[in-house]
Amino acid sequence: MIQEVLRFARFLAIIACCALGFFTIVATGGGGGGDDSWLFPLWVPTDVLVADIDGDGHADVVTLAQLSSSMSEREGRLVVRLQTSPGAFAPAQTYRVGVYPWRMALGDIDGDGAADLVITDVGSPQSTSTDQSVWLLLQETINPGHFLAPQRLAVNPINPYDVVIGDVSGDNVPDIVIADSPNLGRGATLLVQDATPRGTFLAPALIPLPGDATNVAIGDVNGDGLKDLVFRMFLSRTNYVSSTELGIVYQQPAGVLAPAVTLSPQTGINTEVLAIARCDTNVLVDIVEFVTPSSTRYRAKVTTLLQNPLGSFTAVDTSLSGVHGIDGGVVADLNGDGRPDFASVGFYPVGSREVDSTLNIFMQNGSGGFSLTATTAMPVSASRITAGDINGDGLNDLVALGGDNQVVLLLQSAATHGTFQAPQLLN
Amino acid sequence: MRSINRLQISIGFLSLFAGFLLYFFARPSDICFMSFIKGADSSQYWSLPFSPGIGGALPSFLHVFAFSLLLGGFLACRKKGYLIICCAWLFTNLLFELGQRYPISASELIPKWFEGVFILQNMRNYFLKGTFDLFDLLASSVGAVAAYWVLARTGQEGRVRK
Repeated sequence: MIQEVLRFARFLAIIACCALGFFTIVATGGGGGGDDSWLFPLWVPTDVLVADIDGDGHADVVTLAQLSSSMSEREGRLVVRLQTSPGAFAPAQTYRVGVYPWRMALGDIDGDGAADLVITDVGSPQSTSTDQSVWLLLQETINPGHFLAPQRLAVNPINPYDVVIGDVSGDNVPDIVIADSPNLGRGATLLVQDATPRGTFLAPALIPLPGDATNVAIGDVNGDGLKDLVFRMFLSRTNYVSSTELGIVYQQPAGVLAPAVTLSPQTGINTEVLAIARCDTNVLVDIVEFVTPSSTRYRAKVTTLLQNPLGSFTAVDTSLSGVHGIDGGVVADLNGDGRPDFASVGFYPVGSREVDSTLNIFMQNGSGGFSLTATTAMPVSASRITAGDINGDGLNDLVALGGDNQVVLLLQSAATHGTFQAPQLLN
Repeated sequence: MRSINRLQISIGFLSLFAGFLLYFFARPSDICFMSFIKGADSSQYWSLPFSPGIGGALPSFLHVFAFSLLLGGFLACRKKGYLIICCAWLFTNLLFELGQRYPISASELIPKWFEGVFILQNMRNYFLKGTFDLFDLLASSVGAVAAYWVLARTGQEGRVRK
């Protein structure tokens, strides 16, 4: 009997030894060492926007990325590329912002007529509440196109994945709405700006929602002249698959935010783009959402929620199944017809060590559906994209970000709207 | 029933402990399990008193050596068995190291259900972000040879007849 027990114990020890040996390899990164300097500097581009920052009439390019100098040295980088004359850009200005800046929003916070930046920072991979932040960069009034040092706003966000700037308190002064998992409860965080003095904020307030906000868009959804908020909310996770839904928070007079109206429940997706735009022929604004799958069981798609006259929404899905290059996207008018179209960009493996990067352009049919009209190979592994009129011809151009924080421009053809010139790297 | 070989197991555990100390003192907390012990924010670590190449490959040596000793000690088999054990651990380590040489192909072989299992969920990053290093292959091979030598030398002493 004792021998049986001992034999079984030894059997268990042998199994445990094998399992431990296997786990140890994975847990320690294989024990490996060697020279990893080839990996660095490593850029992880996170956001890009096009806007006339310095007010000279030329669109500028602002990019956000994380730069790793080694395994343990990471910092956020904001790079501002000012366009001084058509097609000519001044040397890039670089600002250090947090650890892992994720999204940025542009707006005149302090009321000096110059656009400022609000940037969310999701911190390090092993994030703690202390290194997740929201940063405010005020533009220098006397030196347009340049920003003052980033100041950390008095808010302790958890997973601040998105941010918008707009007046949601009814005082005609822009506020900040952060899509995060607030300490105060489920929902999003609202930073109401103090009208006097500008640039200061009241204590963070909770916008109560059924779930934690992961994405946010701002715009007048119901046509009453007041800015409303649209959130994608994380509800729960079952077997590592998340359930989410949209929530619309309508602003009522005097800055009162109504309880969220929920719609569009989804499973197994991550929202990359959430936009408010007028898609069909009626005067009501609609909601466009680009989602990517959280696992291979799900598929990427663009969903247009067409608003009906009674304020309800009808979903029109465009599947992106089989489309490569879907890391980032942008909803914008890409052929000058006044209706929003869609473009995506991303990189993906081909073969064992090679990656290709592709940009896809989808035109909207006026009924909320999108069709792929062009696919372009990108010169760098681009993963973020935005649209804006770079060359001042009144047509939106595409600006992608990728590789070693490189910017790629695709100018829209003035002769054939909806077609774009070959990608060119912005030095 | 053959008894276990306590000497071999002890050497195995000591080697494993040496590997732990190596990680604890000489690696940043970026490494998966160190962040649990040292804290996620701890980036403090000390340089080893020998060349980075050897220091970097030492864990690979210790892994094959320690687990060959441990398994050999528990099985308490003959020399042929020791040879199989050492080769098996060497093969396992070589396989993982080669996975870092061909990261995308290797990551495609990982079963989906690994994504939901503690530690195993890191395997994709292990291949995609790990560094292939010839020194690791060499160190694993040396570890296997050293383990076999120790097992063969200590095998008779550890065997107790019923």
